[in-house]
Amino acid sequence: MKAIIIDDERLARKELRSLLNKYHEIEIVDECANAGEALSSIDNHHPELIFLDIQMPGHNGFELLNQLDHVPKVIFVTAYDEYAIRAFEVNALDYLLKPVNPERLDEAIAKVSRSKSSFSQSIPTEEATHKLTENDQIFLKDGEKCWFTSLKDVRMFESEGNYVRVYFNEYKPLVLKSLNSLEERLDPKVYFRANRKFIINLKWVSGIENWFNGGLQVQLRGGDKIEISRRQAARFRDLMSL
Amino acid sequence: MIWCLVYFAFHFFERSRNEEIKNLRLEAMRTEVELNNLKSQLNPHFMFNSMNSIRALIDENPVIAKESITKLSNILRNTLLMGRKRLVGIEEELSLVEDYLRLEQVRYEERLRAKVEMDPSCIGCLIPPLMVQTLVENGIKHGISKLPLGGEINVIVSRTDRMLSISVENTGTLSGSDNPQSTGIGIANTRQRLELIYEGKATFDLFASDGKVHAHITLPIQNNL
Repeated sequence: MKAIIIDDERLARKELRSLLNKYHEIEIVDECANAGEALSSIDNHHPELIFLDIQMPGHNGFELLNQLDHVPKVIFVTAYDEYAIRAFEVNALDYLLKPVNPERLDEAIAKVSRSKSSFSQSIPTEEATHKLTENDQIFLKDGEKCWFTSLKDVRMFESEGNYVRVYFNEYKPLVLKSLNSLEERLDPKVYFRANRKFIINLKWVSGIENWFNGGLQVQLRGGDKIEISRRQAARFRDLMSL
Repeated sequence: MIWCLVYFAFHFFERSRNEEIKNLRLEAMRTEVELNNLKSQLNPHFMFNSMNSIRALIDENPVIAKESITKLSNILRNTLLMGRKRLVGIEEELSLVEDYLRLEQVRYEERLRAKVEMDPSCIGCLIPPLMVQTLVENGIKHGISKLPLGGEINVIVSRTDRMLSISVENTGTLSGSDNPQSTGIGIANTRQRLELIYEGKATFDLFASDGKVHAHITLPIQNNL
């Protein structure tokens, strides 16, 4: 499994590398000292796993994740940091505290290996490099809160000015993106532009009704009702029929 | 006559009671400021990061690794002991600051350049413990650690007849925008401590110019001798 270490301190990178020596399944392909380096290195190497420090000069670890389209598996490696620990409460990813306890590292690596199979599907292929599929993980940050979520759990996206509200589980964080640019990045077989304001996940559709002006209204599991504009309704019928 | 006696007695008690309440309040405030100061001193982020670098150094350079452990112990001991004193000698404080800076240099390597200068005539002057240390830590935390290429931090101590002048300057800007809260606490605490101990006779300024942040304290000289 290809992995990258991202930490601004050389000694911290060295220490982690030496701890990772004994795991033959993990191949450290690069080390980066800041978010900028990391961004281009991730682009080059497409690692499946990154070890990420949070406090770094320039952009911090969270901001780096925010800039990635395909988020690899992430293990945070950080010194005591209340802010970080608070963020972890919200999601299920793993983190290690410095100095790293070798037994905890064992557990973290085991966890990553277990989840490997589902992840390998989303390793970008030639054609799919530019589309996000439902198996991709995304990283969301709204104020102090952070989430890792699989795209298949996202039932819809709503445009709010320059922002997009992402609906998943009981959360709906706001991220700085336009709905149009998001639409271009999403797999059109699963994510459908219902109208000016919404993109919906077709796998979440539980009911369809005829609506005014030749439009449709779909109901999503969980109860949200979204109108499909007349222009899009024809495309929708095409997509959903045999 | 009796009425007068009662009147004055009443006012006397009332006054002494008010005085007592005022003293208790002041005492409570003092304790709180000192407590905050101690809390802000035991900086876990620094401790754990240092231990992490030392662990890597054990393979790379055992001599510096050993030195670093001694320095870290010094810092721990001093933080625990000095925090309890009301005042310490400036030379004692600066030796703690130097240990701290050496350790941070192990961590940040070429990104941290540091200089500590003191006019020898200042030896023996007393200051509140960990006051310079707090400013230096702030300078690294909010200044140098935010810069990909690092920067420098200089501590300069000098004196006039009656006043001791301590200046800490570091590369960086005074933008509280990324984390306004944390910049505030250390600074507010320094101000409060100076006010409680010197009752208006000390000054504290924090300002940015020429890509540097300057923290400057002047306080009346009290001698050890």
